[in-house]
Parts: sequence; C-alpha cells; structure tokens
Amino acid sequence: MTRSPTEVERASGVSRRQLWLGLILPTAAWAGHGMLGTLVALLSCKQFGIAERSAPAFTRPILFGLSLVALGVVVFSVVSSLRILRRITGSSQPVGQQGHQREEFMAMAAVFFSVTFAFGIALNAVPVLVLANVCEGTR
Amino acid sequence: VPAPGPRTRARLTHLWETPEDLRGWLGTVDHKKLGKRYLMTAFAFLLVGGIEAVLIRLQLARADQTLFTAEQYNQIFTLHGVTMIFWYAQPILTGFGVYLIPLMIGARDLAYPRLNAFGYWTFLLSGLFLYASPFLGQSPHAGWFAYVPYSTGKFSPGLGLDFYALSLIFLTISTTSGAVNFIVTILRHRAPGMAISKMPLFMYSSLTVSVSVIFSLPPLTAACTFLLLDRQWSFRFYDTLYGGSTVLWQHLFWFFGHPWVYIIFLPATGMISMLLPVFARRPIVGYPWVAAATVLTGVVGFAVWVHHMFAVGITHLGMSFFSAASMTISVFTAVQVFSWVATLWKGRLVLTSSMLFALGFLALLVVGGLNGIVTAVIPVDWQLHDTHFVVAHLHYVLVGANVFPVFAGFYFWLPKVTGRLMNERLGKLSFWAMFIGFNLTFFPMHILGALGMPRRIFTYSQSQGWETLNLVASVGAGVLTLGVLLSVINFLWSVKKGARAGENPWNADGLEWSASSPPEPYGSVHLPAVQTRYPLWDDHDEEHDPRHERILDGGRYTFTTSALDARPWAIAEMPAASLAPVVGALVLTAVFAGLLAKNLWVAGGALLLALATNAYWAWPKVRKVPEPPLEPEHHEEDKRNPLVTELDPGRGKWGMGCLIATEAMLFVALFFAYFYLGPFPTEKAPKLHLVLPMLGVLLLSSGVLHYGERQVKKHADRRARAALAVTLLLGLVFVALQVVEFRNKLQELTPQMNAYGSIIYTITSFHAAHLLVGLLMLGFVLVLPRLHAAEKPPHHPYKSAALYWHFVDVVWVFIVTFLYILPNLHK
Repeated sequence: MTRSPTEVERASGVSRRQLWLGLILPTAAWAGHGMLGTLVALLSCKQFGIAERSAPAFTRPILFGLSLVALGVVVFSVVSSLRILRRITGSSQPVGQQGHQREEFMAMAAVFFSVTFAFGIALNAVPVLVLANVCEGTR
Repeated sequence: VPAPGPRTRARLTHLWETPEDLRGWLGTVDHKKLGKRYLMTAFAFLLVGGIEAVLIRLQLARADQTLFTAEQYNQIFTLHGVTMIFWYAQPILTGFGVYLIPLMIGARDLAYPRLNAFGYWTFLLSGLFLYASPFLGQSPHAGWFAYVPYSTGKFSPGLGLDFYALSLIFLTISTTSGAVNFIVTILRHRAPGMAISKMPLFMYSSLTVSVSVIFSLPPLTAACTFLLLDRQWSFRFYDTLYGGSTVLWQHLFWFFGHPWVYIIFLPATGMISMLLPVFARRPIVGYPWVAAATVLTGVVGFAVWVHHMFAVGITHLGMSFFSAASMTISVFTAVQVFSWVATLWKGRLVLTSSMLFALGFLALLVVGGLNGIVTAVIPVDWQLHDTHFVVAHLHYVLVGANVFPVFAGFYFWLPKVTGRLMNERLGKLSFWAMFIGFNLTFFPMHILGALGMPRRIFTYSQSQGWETLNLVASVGAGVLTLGVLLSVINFLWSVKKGARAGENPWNADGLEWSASSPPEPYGSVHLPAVQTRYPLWDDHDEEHDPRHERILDGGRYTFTTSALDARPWAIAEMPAASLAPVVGALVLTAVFAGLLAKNLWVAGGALLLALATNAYWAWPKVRKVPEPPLEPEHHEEDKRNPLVTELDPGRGKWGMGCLIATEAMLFVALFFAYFYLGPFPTEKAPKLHLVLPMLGVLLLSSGVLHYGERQVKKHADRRARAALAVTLLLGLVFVALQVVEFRNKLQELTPQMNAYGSIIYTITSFHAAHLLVGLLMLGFVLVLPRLHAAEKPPHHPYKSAALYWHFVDVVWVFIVTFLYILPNLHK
C-alpha cells in the first residue's frame, strides 16, 4: 500500500526542507571547498609567494583548515541523512522496493551525495598535505 | 460509464494531427514527427562524419601517403570532429528525447512545441551553414577545438574559422531551446503519480544534461564571440601582444567541452538503463543510486575542465584539485556500471541485437573509462598528451558510450516509431562487424600513442615504425563502416518489409510501450496515471479511468503536474502547427550569413525580421478549439470529469527562468574573462560620474516595475500599464546615457586598443543588447490587448517580462561593481 507524500512526512517527522538540505549541503561543501581552496591558493601565492617562489607559511594551514571544515560538514551530512533515512524507512521495507517513495528516495540520494562528496573532499585535501610547495607553478 | 469509443479517438485525432500538406510539413509541432526528423538528420550527419573518418584512415593507412595535402587533411579531420561532436552525438540524443520523453512520461507533447520545431530547424540550418564552407573552399582547419592563436585571423585567414565560430553559436540556439523544453517538460508535465522516485532513468539523464547545457554552452558562445571579434573586427582577446591571452580560449572552451562529454554520454547511459533491464527481464538493480550518480556526474562534470589543460602550465595545486575531481567523477560511472552488471547477473538475458549493442557499450565504456583514468594522472598525461593514445581514449568514450547505445536504442525503439521490427540476424551481424571493426581501429592507437605518434599529423615516414598498426586501424575502419551500412540496410528493409511490431514487442515496462506502434498523433486516449516505476510490469491498467478523468479532449491539452510528486495541478494548452518557427530559423540564418560577410545591413535587417517573427509568435491567438468531426451526442461516452479543470496560465515562466539562467551564465563567462585578462594597468580608473546615475535609473525602473506587478495582482489595469510605461521611459533614459558614456569612453579607449578595451566594450555592449531586448519585451506587454484577459491574474507575460528586466538590472549592478568601482578602489 503506497502512502501519500504528506502521510510519509507526517509519520516520519521529516520535513521537505530537511530532505533538500541533505542534497544541497554536501554539494555546497564540496563546491565551496574547491572554489575557496583555489582562491586562497591563488591569492596568497600571487601576493606573497611569487617573489621567492615558495609558499607563504599560512597558505598550507588555511587550506588544510578549509578541508577540515568541509569534511566536518559532509560528515554531519552523512550522519543526519542516515538518521533521516532510518526514520523514513523503518525496518519493514521489502527488498527491491527501496526508494520507491519520494521521501525515501531523496533520503537515499542524500546519503549517496554525502558519502561521495566526503570522498571528493578528502581527495582534494591530499595534495595540500603532500605537495612540497603549494605555490609551485603560480605565475 | 462505457469506455470511450471511436468518436473520442476521432476527436483527439482531429485535435492533434498535422495537415498532410506543405504547410503542415513545414509548420508541424508534433514531437513525434520532429523527433523522427532529428534522428534522421543527425544520422545523416553521422554518415557524413563517417565518410570523413574513412578518408582520414585512407590517408594514414600507409607511410608517406599523398592522397591529401596537409591543408586538405586538416580540413577533413576538423569537419569530422565538428560534425560528429556537435551535429551528430548530441542532436541524435535530442532526437530520442524529443520522440520518447512525452511518451515515457505520459504527456501529449513537449512543454513548448513551437520551440521544439524552432530547435529542429535551427539545428538543420546551422549544419547546412557549416557545410556551405567546403563548397566555398573555406573549410575550418583548426581541429574541433580550434585553439588560438592558430585559429585567429593572423594564422588562419579566410572564412573557415568564421564559419566555425558562427555555426557553433547558431547551433547553441538550437541546443539551448531543446534543453529548456526538456527541463520544463520533465519537471512539469509528468503523468499524475510519477514522482521523482518513479521517473524512468532516461528522464534523469535527460534532465541532468539539459541543466548542463544551460550552464555549459554560454562559455562556448563567449569564446566563439571573442574569436569572431578578434578575427573580423581586430579585437584583442587572444592577442598576447595587446594584453590578451591564448589560454583564455582553452579555459572557456573546456569549461564547455568537458560537460559536453557528459552531455553526449549521459542520455546514452539513460537509454541503456531503460533497455538493459528489459532484456535482463528484471528491474534495474539500485535505481536510486543510478539516478543519484547521473545527477552527480552532471554536477562534478563542471569541475574537471582543467584536466584537458594539464600540459598548459597550471599551478600544481590547481592541477591536483582538478585531478582529484576527475577521479571523483569516475565513482559515478562505476556506480552505473556495477548496477548494470548486477542487473545482468541477476537477470535472465535475452540476446537481441539491441542487447548486444548494450553489452558492447558496457565493454567499450569500461576500456574508455579506464584509459581516461590513466590520462587523469598528471605525469602520464604529460607523456601522452596530443598523441594517438588520446584519440583512442576519446573514441572509446564517444563511440563506445554514444554510438553503441544509439544503435541499441535504434534496435529497441524503432519498432515503436515505424511499427515494424528490424531483422535480428542482420542486426547481430551489424553488431559484430561494428564491435570488431571498432576495436581493430582504435585499440592499436593506444600503442601508437605510447610509441609517440602525435595526433593531427597528415602523414609519417616509414622509419618511425607506425605503419603496420596504422594499416590495422584502417582495415578496422572498413569493417566498422560495413557494420554501420548493414544496420542502414536493415532499417530500410524493415520499414517496408519488417514484421509488425505490435504495441509492446519486447514486453517492456515503460509507458511508451502502452501506445500503439507507431503512436497515434495524441499518444494514448487516456493520459496515464502512474503507481510504480515499472508501470507495464506492475499491473498497469491505463484504461482504468472510469470517470474519464484523463482523456482531456476539450482542446490540445495535457496535464501540468507538480515537480516533485507529479500531483495534477492544471491543464496545459498546447499550440497547433505554425510557420513561425521555420520562418524564425530561416531569418536567423540570414543574420548569421550577414555576420559572416561582415554585412551589418543584412544582419541588422534580418535581426529586425527575427524580432517581428518573434512578436508574431508570442502574440496571443484567439483560441479556436476545432469542432469535433462528429457531433457529440448526449451520450455517456462524452461525460468528462477531468482531474483538474484550471488552465495553466503561467507555463512561460519556467522557460523564462531557464533563459535567465543561461544568460546569467553568459555574463559569468564574460566576467571570468575580465578577471582572467586582468589586472589591467589602470593609470586612469574608469569615471563614475555617468555610470552611477545610470545605476540609479535602472534600480528605480525595477522598483517601478515591481509596483506594477503588484498592481496586476490587484487587477489595477491602468496603474500597472502606467508603471510599465514609466519603466520603459526610464529604460530609454538609460540607453541615452549609455550612448553618451560610450562616446566619452571612445575618446580615450577603443576595443581594438588592447584586451582591456575589448572586454570592457564587449561586456557593456552585451548588457546593452539585453537591455534593448528587455525594452522590447516591456513594449510588447504594453501593447498586448488586455492585461488580464480570460486567464486568472497575475498576468504572466507581464511577470515574465518583469523577471527579465530585473535580471538585466542586476547584471548592471555587477558591471558597475566589477568594471568601475573595483578599479577605483585599487587606484
């Protein structure tokens, strides 16, 4: 028996805003991390690092800090999306019918978004840790 | 209540069919007819591009071959690349979408049928425009990506690259209109009950790429406009001596180019996700993950463009970011591949020709994906860049992930289109010839690339040791061609002599298979309502409509439903056949011909005609609901209780939203160019004494128009019109001030003086052009017969025009901030 969207929302206590947030938050964290990281690196390297061709001392910590903040956001998103998914589905879902209700579908997508963007942000953070000079190549 | 009989069908046919005369042929807006035209035209371009590919392989088959000169070879491979990527790979998928999307989601047509027709005609005419170039001896010759400075006037004189730039800008009009149509159709016209969790996966891929088109094409338009201005009017965007940058082209081109790879790949994967479960006889494994992975591919696809530029000289950190994003995106493709493999693993396979092409796609995609990851590793990319390895990679991706799914789609859906089944034996023969031929052609290129054979060379010497592998590749091209021709023969044979297909020859699950083959002009008598993801497998009974809630035969109607849950919301009225789209496309061709010839009188005159056509198009027509061919009697059959009764008055609003999104992206590309070319030596910071009052005028106009919108809501017709007139007046004041500003500025700076002049004038001129369009829109709304005619308020043309005007005003705020105030702060 399929339930209407409002019935599902009422039963689970999950609002539409929460469902959207699960999709938007990790995406914004990943995009923001990439853009801010690039901007910080470009600005600080051009302003301070170009003359001696070495990175200013604060560039790497700022970039690393940005990665930590972004990772924190997506980890929060992973946890909250999983909670929301559990609240919506309960434990009685028949196998093969996952994500059939729109709310459950959005919650599952939110888990997927959060996990993959956590992976993406972690990958982005690796070069900051391993590059000898984060300003190398700045012109 | 008895089921509707022949009278209802006759009435629906009368409402939806196109007259079978020349006027009907030119003016049809039927998505099925236009879809077939898209498919046939794009396939014709595939054959033309294929002939060019054969010529390339003939030239490279042996060392020191002299079939073509270097210049001829350059022209052939450029036309091959441009044709395949722009006029075949994406339009063929648009063709599938135009034909199938309304049938798959249970709508009677796309959201904007006339825009659909306009999109087709501009696609066809832009292709003919490009192919006029070889007949004039002026083919483009700089590769499909036309890197500057080689493509600038200094190194490539003549009209070849002008043809390239103009035909691409022309084509983007078609592609964007198609994308807008798909977005609004999928979000607003799905069958009642088809929530986003029950949409066919082809909808996810079509929706994702349509959004990608909206945001990725404007940078290409900007890049091509800069190229044209440099070539024809001596602007300095790409002239490094005058502050320009050659790398700017690469950034803009690849910001478009990499999402484009997904644009020509994702709908094909969507097609595979539709047909593979049918032949595996089970639902797809992991529907939510495949849907999410499709959307995420579109999102992350915008963050990987720099991996085409690793050899240019980017910061190491920047390269690492883009390398990481390139690796991340492979996760999403992997999710889809695992889902398909799991579906196959758990299914009972039926090896039809269509399924064979799908399996071939899967194999080739894995190879293309893996060698793509190889080139995402920066040091390896430096070694392999611009070698035949990259040719191998891109063909594994583009042929493997586009041509094979397209052929799978042909064998799967053509029985629906033609009503006839294709010959399976010939189909399988065609598959094996194509699969073996493809691998023979492109696998050796991996080795040739590793051996150092560069791309785009017209010949090589015997001493380099590349001859045997090149010969193998050329023989493979012959086998591949044979495979394609077998399918063409199969199609031509089946149209006449194929076995009758029936409604659902494959026992498939999608709604498109509930219509007759070929479908009636109106699709299904009862617009379907959906309970599950696989309606035809899960006790679907479309005819179960006892109250006749879903027949909608009072006009050319379909349902408008809510975006997430597809709850019925209103009835959308669709326009009938019209000559305006084809006339508009022809007039646009004249605009581009005028620009090619640098004849501004022709271009300007044609532009005025285009605006007039547009006004005719948008002018509200008296609704003439045609009389049914049989008089409705007072009979139970004619009782209708539609799910909703309100007409949807605001369908244009969604289209306007999409238009504004793509225009906003165009300005983002222009601002990117401004910052990329900067910082500029600003001995004299730009003067503010005129632009600040201009800003005030525009902000005031927005305020007045907002007041007008509120009056429309209150039915205060006269006050709303007065507000519109005041806004128009303020707009004209702005134009006058802009003319003065230009005249003052030209005293000290011209667009030809340096890159700064070029970008400043281009941005402000683009804004001025948008402002003039906004003024025309406001003027149009002012002269519309009534502000709130039969529809319920708010008056939607007013709202749409106001939305556009506010957008133009917001752009000016950014222009003043970036181009005027910031340089003054740095003074």
